[in-house]
Amino acid sequence: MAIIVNLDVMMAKRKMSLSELSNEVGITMANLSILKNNKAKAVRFSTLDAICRVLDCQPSDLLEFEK
Amino acid sequence: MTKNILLNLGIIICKILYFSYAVIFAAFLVFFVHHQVKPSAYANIDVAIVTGTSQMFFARTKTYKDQIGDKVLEDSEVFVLNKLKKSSLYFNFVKFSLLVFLMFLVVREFQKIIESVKEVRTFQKRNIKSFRKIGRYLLGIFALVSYSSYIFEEGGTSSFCISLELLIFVLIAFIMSEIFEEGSKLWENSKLTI
Repeated sequence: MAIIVNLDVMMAKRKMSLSELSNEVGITMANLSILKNNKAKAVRFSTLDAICRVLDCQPSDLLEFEK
Repeated sequence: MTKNILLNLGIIICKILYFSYAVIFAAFLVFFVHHQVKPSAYANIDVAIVTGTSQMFFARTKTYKDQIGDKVLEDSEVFVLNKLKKSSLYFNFVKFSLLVFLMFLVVREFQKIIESVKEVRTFQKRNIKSFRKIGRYLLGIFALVSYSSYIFEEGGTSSFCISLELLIFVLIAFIMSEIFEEGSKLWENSKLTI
């Protein structure tokens, strides 16, 4: 897929671990791993909203289009 | 869905069918052995009814009887079980055994599908395979049912018939596998939606 999720980059910038993010966002570690490893087929707006809120970033910081 | 009555009923029916097939096969095995040990026990059993193909979509039956001089033998003299040739008996035994085995496999696959629905794992890949297997088994049953042959000492009968109902079931099984494949893709997509 041409859309890349830069969740690991943002997590590193905010110095946040996967388990911390999981606790704060309310998404299971398994699902966050799927997202982090670019295995996800789709992302709900509610999920994006929660992650952006916790990581204090914009959706564009998390998603990138690669040709 | 653990308390779904319909699914539980389906599983019970499948189990009853397993038992029925085992009993039918055992009965046929007993007949097969007994017929060879004591064929005279079947002297009065007329098997002309076996060739009945009225329910078939297309049927072609060929019957022949030996003549003794000008006298044509009666059906009741020719088509009796004790005069069934050994080769025909073996052929029909193998055919019937395969038929029962294939029906058993169809029921087994169907039970697997019902159990997966009960466990809310309806659109798993195994069910797609199960429906394809059912389709193939039904095709096998169709092939076995299509041709029948009974050769007696003084005559014989062979028939070729096409059972439209079976073909429709084959088609339904393959269509169901396609539907489940589509469902499986949707389920996988929804599983990977975060």
